[in-house]
Amino acid sequence: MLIMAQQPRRRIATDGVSGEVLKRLLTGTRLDAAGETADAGVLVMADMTSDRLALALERPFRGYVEFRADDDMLADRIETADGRGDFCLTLTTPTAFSAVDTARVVCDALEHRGALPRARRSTVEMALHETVANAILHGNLGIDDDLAADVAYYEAFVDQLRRLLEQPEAHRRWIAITAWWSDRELQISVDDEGAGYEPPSQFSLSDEDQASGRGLAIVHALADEVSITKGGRCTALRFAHER
Amino acid sequence: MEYKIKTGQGQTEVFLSGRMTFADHEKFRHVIAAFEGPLGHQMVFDLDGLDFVDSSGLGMFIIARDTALKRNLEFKIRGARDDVKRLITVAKFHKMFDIED
Repeated sequence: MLIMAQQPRRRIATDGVSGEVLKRLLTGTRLDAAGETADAGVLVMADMTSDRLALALERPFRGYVEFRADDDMLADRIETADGRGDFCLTLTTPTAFSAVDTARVVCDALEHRGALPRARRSTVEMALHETVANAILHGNLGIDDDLAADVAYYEAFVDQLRRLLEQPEAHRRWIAITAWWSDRELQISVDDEGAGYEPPSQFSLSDEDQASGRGLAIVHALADEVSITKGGRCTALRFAHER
Repeated sequence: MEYKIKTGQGQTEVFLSGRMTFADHEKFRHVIAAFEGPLGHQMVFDLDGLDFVDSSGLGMFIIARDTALKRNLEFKIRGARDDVKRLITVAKFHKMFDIED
């Protein structure tokens, strides 16, 4: 006789989320919205800001997912955040752009979890910030920052940036920050949903007078290892604790 | 990022504070709008209150310098410290600007 083992239902915590909407979005999945609970792997949070997220990140969840009522991929995002890495934060482009100071709050969370030694904080935060900026601006928004480099086009660049952030497409593109750690090192990856790009064979900080294009070169100067995969949509950083 | 602008005899000081990042382009446009003065008037960016800057922020320094140049103004940066000073060095911006401690 064949006995089918039923997979246990998994509880998720919520913060500021409408129960009815969440129930609808999770229908047919094995996820249970449990509201305020400490024994869940993932927290689903509405109205993310740096302050609200910073408080939530002090709680021992593995994954944090921004809630949007029209997100029909929510269950997949929760499963991914719960099953990937030691820590995962998933949020939309406009939230990562201005509502949340993403690299800072992630570094706070990693420090809080003992994954980021104080002596490495500054280096990791600078490199992660540049990687997140790259994922938002060049990945999800697909912005051409050559315009930002020229004073004659700077106004046009700022207008273009504002328009792109207001478009519905920006709200449908996400970034995910995932971290793994051990006693010896910390690894962080940043995934975006942009068109990707072919990374150059070499990143260098030349002395040329350029106003843009320095971000990833700075990342390479700061991290111990940088790998770009998934056609340019994932950048992974490695930092050794010993120096 | 927050900023205060103080205009005096011969120079305009822009005091930048907080975190200057890719999210500040819109606000930075207002800073650039204050770049006015007679020939040789000096625009000074004071970074003493700035806790963090990213590569977009460094790009804004170039926009500021080029705007000054276009309007026949002088431009200099002063007072970078800690992480801001470190990023300026990592990005080799100290070779491109007149930067005072």
